[in-house]
Order: sequence, then structure tokens, then C-alpha cells
Amino acid sequence: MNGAEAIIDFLLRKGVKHAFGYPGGPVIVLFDAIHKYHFPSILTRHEQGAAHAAEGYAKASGLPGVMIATSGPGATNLVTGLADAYLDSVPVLAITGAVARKATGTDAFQEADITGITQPVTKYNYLVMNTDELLPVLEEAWNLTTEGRPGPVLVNVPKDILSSPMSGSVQTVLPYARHRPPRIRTRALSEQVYEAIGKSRRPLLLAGGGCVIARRGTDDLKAFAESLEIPVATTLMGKGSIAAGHPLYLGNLGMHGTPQANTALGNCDLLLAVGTRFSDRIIGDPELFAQQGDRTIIHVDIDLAEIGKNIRPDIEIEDDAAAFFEEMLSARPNKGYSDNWREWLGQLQAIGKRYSQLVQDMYQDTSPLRPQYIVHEVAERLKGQNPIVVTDVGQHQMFAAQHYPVESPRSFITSGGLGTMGFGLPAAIGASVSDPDRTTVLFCGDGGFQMTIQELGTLAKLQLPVKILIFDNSCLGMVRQWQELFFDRRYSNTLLDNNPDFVAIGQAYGIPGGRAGDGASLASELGKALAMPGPYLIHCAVDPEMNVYPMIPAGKMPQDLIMPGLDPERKS
Amino acid sequence: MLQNLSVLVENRAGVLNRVTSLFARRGYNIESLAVGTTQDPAISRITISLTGDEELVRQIIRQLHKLPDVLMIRHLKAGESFSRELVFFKVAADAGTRTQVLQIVDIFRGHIIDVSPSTLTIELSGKDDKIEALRHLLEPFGILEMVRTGPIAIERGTRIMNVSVAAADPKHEPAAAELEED
Repeated sequence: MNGAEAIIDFLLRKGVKHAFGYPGGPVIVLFDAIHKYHFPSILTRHEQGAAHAAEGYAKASGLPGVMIATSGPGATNLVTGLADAYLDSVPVLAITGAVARKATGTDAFQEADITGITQPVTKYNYLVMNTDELLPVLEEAWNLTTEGRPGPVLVNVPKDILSSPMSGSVQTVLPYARHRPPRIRTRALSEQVYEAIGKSRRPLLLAGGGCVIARRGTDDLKAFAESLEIPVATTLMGKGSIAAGHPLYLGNLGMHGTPQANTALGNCDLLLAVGTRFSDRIIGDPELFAQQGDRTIIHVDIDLAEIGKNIRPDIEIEDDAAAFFEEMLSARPNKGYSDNWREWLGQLQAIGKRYSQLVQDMYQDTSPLRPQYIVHEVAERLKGQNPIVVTDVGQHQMFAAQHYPVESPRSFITSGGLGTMGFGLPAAIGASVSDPDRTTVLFCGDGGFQMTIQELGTLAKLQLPVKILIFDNSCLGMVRQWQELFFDRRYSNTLLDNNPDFVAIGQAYGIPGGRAGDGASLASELGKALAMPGPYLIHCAVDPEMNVYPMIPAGKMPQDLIMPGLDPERKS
Repeated sequence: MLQNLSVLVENRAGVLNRVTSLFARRGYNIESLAVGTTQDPAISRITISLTGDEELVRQIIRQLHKLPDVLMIRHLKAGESFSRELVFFKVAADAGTRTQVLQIVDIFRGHIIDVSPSTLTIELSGKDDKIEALRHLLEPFGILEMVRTGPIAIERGTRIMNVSVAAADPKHEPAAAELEED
């Protein structure tokens, strides 16, 4: 067995069912092993596609996604995907080929220091320089992807190690124990947390991506929230951690969150934040937020370094979301709390009611189509079928986040932290590979779609049930919106006035599709899309002037939310 | 104020780079960083000096703990530890000024390690304030070069920063694996 075969054998032993990759000179041996072992590695059309597909796979399934690329340009093409996975805590393992050991550092053909390049955007990475290290490194790397807070790990293997015979001896990489301070677990602090809850009149439970990632976390979240009758808001990454229609659920908060969720964030006296890192898209300016001192903040996160990074909490707990909710439920004192905040909950629900009326008004059949209407129609059409919803980045992403009530956790796949245009199509492919029995819906803008459009080739080959909806407003809508609102309508480099015929492009790849310009054609196209088992592409001409509201301008406070038509007294 | 962090790391390739790039990436300002092997050649000890409050130090320790190479971290506080730094000065000194410089160096218990017709090279170890005091006195003669190692630090008394001792002593930081079991 050579190094390459050892890698593939390792992946098979770990139960890897799919990988995404692209070959090249130094990894020919690795792809030879893939061939020999019938390893299911999927050929994407660009390494960035492989990276996002591995992410989509991991986000939808919770299992590590695997990507394989060659040295130099192959490896550098993974970087965006790794950075994306790093910010959204996605467990992915990248295996890259490197030039032979004796050529290392000589600027050899297709040499790039990928371990150096990816160090800041991976949980950890390795350059294997010793044959004996290969298997222990793979073992450690594999565990690191999902251990604690998940994230991307890269293993860079020189081509001569790939082809050299593996000796039987296996040395461990880590002969020393790592010493860490004792964890500040829920068990020790549950009483304190209940004490803070007991004093609160305006509490808010903020559920972040950690509530989606932690196994069992979502069921326990619901049980915990119901036992207290505490209002719940989610971050973009936390969407799906509680059922969309739940009476305690206020929706997403942050820059494009709902008025009720942002009112709750701005006015709560107790913020119980679980599995979130208080990004600037959630809290705006951390210093301003912290100055509003009249509130108790409890921060629960599996990554201790996130606690106190942006916001200094009053109580810090280093635990995963599932363990936290479970422990809190078992330590629940036998008393009621919710009478203390019945009025608060009522106020929030009243704002929610007014907002949902405004939302209903958005769902109008117009020509050109309104993005909100499209999202709503798709959601109505697929109600009860629990589809995987994938987005790219930009206005359509926010419309999908606002208007698609996803039915289960891990069913809203989006690029949150890095905001990577071009994420959508390959991520939808990866998500669909992980669960091809479900329908995958991809909402994508005309800009982002053209960033990884070549993955239509991968999709056509795999014939996955990915239904693509392109929201074509012939511009880079989110930046255009900012230019309209904050840059006196100077639309610098945001107008895409020579978009191609997307339907024809799909057809050229062998993917059927059609155009939707109004409600009737949308309904007919959706009917066709869902009637066929494989991919389908719907081109939707949407209103280019449509802006995403509600909106909190960057760096402003939740109270500064802009929502045309909403009763201004909400701010009180 | 100036704080010292001692970090035990495994001697893997690029580990120093991982530590320093973490500081750069997170925007932490380090004053100096001294690194060398320990009694166990597979383990290095990094002494990091930085300016910041307790809050910043806490945050830095948390970030450092995320690196798998990091075996143990201690915040060495002033009253509980010793800290020393080594410095070389190359000072302009000719026949007319040499004696004066020698006298000053003597008071500081420094050593002359090299002499030329126009220069003196001085070695001194000590705490930051001692080094600064000597520097201040040498300045009028003309400091041509100054080379500093950055401080290294060690705890007073029986407290020992050593992964093998820590493993045997329950009062020390528990190993991560043991923590998982509680």
C-alpha cells in the first residue's frame, strides 16, 4: 500500500461516502488510488466548487465533508471555501497534493505554500514530511474537524509520500497531553442562570448556529424555551433551530432581522445567547451595545475564545448547546417564571403581528416578480416536504432567510460569516448529494450564479434534484441597495446589463429550465421543476429596485431598524 | 501594563509562526517574544511579553488554547515570578570616554565583552527597568547598537511549569482528556 492508497483506505474506514475533488499532476497517484478502490470522489468543474460542495454536504448532514485538490493553483482555489467553512464552523477535511519533498521551497512547478496560506482560515493544517506521520496526521485531522467547535482542517501531502510504500509502524503525533483550564460547565452555573431568569422582566433567548450544529440541541431548545415560555430569536446561522411557526419564535435578528426580534434584542434585560459569536451583523457595534448596560448577558458557547471576544457577558458557560439545554432542563426549579414577562412577550408578539401584515402585502403577484413573492410561492408549493433550502449571498439570501419557513434544522444552507458569492450552486450540489431523496431548492442571484456557473456541469452529470431559481435583477442587488441608500445612488460597477440567457446556458449543459416573469409563469415553471426527478433551472426576472427591509444600517443599534410602513411607536 | 505569558508548545514545524500569526491576525500587540527548547527537547517554551489589561490576557490565553500545538499556558504575574532579559549595547567610546563607560557598566554589574579603539560592547541581564536605566546613562556617549532578547520568566518557589509534573500533580491544570470525563 502506498501513501495515496493509505489515504483512500483511511477515508473509507471513516465511512466517507462522498468526496469532491479535482485532479492534477502531483495527485495523479491519489486519483489512481481513488480509481483502484472505487472511491466515490465527485469531479467538480473547479476546486472552489469542490470546497463549497464539501461544505454543503457537511452543513446538511453534519458529517465531515471531504475535498481533494492538487498542489499550487488547485489548493489555492480551495481557500475561499476553507475561509467560509472557518467562519461558519463547518467540518471539512481538505487533502491537497504538494510538490515532492526534495523540491519543497524551490518554487517548483505548481508549488504554493498552501499550509502557510491557509493557516489563518483553518482550525489546523499539516504538511506531512514523514511517511510514518501520514496516518496519525489523518487521524488527528479527521477528529479535529468535528471536535469541539467544528471547522476546516487541511492535510498537505507531498507527491513522493503519496507514491512511497507505507511502513507498518504508526507513531502518534501527540505524545503529550494538552493542559487546559477546567471547563466552566452548565452544571456548575445552572442555578445562577435560573436566578437571573427569575429576576428578568424582559428576557430573550438568542439561538445561534451552535444550536443547529449541536446534536439534539434543537429538540432541547424547544423544550427549554417552552418550559420557560421565553421568546426566542435566531441568528442567520441559527435559522431552523426552532420551528418557523412556533408562537415563541420572533424570527431572525440582526441587520435584516424582524422588527420583533430586533426590538427584543434592543430592549431585553436578560440576553441568553447560546451558540453564537455576536457578529457585527447581529449586534451592530459591540461597544455601543455594551454601553446599554442595563442588561444581564449569559453567553454559552463550545468555543471559550468566543466568550468575551466581542461582548463581555455576566455569566459565561463553556458548553455545547445540546448539553446546555439538557442540563438546564434537568436542573429546572419547580416554579413558573413567565408571569414576569407576559407583558413583554405580548408586546413582541404584537409587533410580530403588525410586521406579518406588512409581509403579507409583499407577497403580491407583480411583473417583474417580487423576490419575496417567489420565495413565498416556493415555500407554499413545498410545504410539508422538508426541502433543503440553499442560498447564495446577497439580497435573495436575505429574502430567503426572511420568507422561507424551513421545516427542520440543517435545512437552510447559506454562507453566513464570510458572505461568499458563488457558494450557492456548489453547496446545493453537496447538500443534495448528502440526501438525494429530498428536494433541494437553490435561491441564487444573477451575480453569484455567474461566479460558479461551471458547476452546472457537475449537476448535469449527477442528475440531482436541485431546483435552481435565479433572481435576475441585472445588478449586484445588495451593493446596489447600499449605493442607493448611503452613496447617493452612484451605482458604481453594480449593474450587470449584459447577463447571458441563463436558461439557454442550463440547456447547453443538458439541464432543462424555463422563464418566470409573473405569478402564472412561475407557478407553471415550479410545476414542471417539481414534476421531474433531476435538476431544473427557473430564470426569474425580478424587480431591480426592490430593497431588503427591514434593515439596520451597519454599525447602528437594533432600535435604528428601518421598516417602511411599520408603526413607529414600536421603538418605545 | 507589561504582562508575561509562558507557553509550552510541541516542537512541530511552524509552531512559532502559528503563535505569532495568531497575534497579528487578532490584532494583539506583543512587545517581545523569546523562544527556546526546554529540558525536554521535544517541547519549546515561548515567553510572550505584551501590554494590556487582564481582560486582553484572558482573551489571548483562550485563543492560544485553541492551537493543538499548545500544551500549557501560564500567566506569570510580577510578584510570583522572576523575569530577566539579556541585552547587548555597542557604545561609542574612545580613550577619552572609555573609563567613564566602564565605571557605569560596573555599577550595573554588566560585562564588557568586546573592545575596539572606538567602541565598547556591553552585555547586561536584568529586568526592563535596569536595562532602561543603563540605556539612559549610556545615551550621551552614543549607543551605536542595542540588541535585546526579550524577557524570559520563571515562577518562584515550588510551582513548576512542566507537562510531566503537571500530569502527576492534581493541583496543576488537568489534561484536556481528563476534563472530558467529569
